[in-house]
Amino acid sequence: MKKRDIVIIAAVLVVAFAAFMAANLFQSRGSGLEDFVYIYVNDALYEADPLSEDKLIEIDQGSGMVNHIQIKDGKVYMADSTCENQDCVEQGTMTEDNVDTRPMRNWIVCLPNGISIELRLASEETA
Amino acid sequence: MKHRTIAAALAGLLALSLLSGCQPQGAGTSAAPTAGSTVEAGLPKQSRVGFFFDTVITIEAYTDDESLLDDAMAECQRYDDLLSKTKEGSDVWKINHADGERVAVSQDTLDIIRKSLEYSALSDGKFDITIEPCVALWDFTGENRGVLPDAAELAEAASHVDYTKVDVNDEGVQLPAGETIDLGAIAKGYITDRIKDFLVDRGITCGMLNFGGNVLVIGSKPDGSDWNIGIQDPDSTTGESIAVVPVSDSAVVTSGIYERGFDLDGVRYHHILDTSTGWPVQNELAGITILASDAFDADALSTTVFAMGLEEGTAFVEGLDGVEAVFITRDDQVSWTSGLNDRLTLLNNG
Repeated sequence: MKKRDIVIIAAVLVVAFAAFMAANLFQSRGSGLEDFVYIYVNDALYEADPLSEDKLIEIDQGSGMVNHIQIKDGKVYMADSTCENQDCVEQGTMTEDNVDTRPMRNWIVCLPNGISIELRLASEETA
Repeated sequence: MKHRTIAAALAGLLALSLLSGCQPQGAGTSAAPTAGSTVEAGLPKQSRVGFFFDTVITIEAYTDDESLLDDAMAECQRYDDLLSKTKEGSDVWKINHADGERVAVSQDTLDIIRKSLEYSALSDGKFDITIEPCVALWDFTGENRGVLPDAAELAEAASHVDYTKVDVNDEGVQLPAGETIDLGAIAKGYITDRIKDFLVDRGITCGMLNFGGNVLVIGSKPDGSDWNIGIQDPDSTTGESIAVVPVSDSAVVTSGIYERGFDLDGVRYHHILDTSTGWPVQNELAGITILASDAFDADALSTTVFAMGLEEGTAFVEGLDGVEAVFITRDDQVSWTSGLNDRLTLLNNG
């Protein structure tokens, strides 16, 4: 192997690495490399947070309608809700590994308060 | 090896590594894509949520058309306006307030009523949209939840239940005065199918619709594997499944005694009503899940087969092509029809 071959190999590897990093940068927020939690109020997206960052989200819609959504240790769940039936709290925890066995898969929904939580897995973001 | 060859090989590898960024990553890396997955690589996942038909609906699909799912949601609104029992001016409202006159309605409404009548005949009346006068006397979710209807009133209402009195022709629908219809048991299923058609006609090959627990999957997952659908444990709303079934291009619909109902003096009163008495169907079943190629069939069958009970319902579904069922009894026994023998996985929830 000649010196020039090694230079070419090195150059191609550098370009490949740079391209890979660039692709990572382009695919940040909720589109491919990280699991995201999308939160909707009625039919509108309210906020999106990475599943990897612990956060307590309060949604106070007034008239006594309050929901708390907890993201913690790679899990997301409805911590509490002022709704009467508490179905959303009872729908439990979503993680990267359990959506395939949950009846509602990657969703937790509070029908009375109009709050929906969607877990968007990086592995399913693009076809 | 000449350097040009090496460079070409490396360039090829580089190109491949960039392309593979469009493939699903993570779980199931060893699962080879199966034939039949026609979804275009690289399409982004999109999702929408909306509140229609007194429930929540979610749509997830792979498409680069930014407005397609919004258009699908607008379709849901149109169907809600058409088939709602309570919205003044809806087709169903007009039929129920016609006082014996024939009412002109949309083609969708004619289709859904005709298909409902087929199911009534098939089930010997166990499925009947004219159950409405009985439904109206029950409250399973609202302010009067927990209050039983007056027995004499309920018996009188049940005497009006008779699907053979529904007269449908191309000019419209005619009911005898005093008869009313409720499409609650099948409207969601019908609309789920129409929304799927709407999306498939516009090029969607991969997606999932969930209309208040009525699941309809389009195609397979992007990697070609089946979607796993959890069969809800009817005993809980905790988001736990009692079993998992892999499906593609299939509807999965669950009906049970715990979704809408109440307990009184040790009796579970729930929304699946006996069409001959107006009282909730009381048999050994707690819940049933139907798998069928379309959501209308699955929705209508979930009510019908529940009313048949375990033994008759199992035999009935075994006799239907392309339909499977999972039965869960009140003492937590799970059984299923033969077509699921190699597909269903029981989960250990204790």
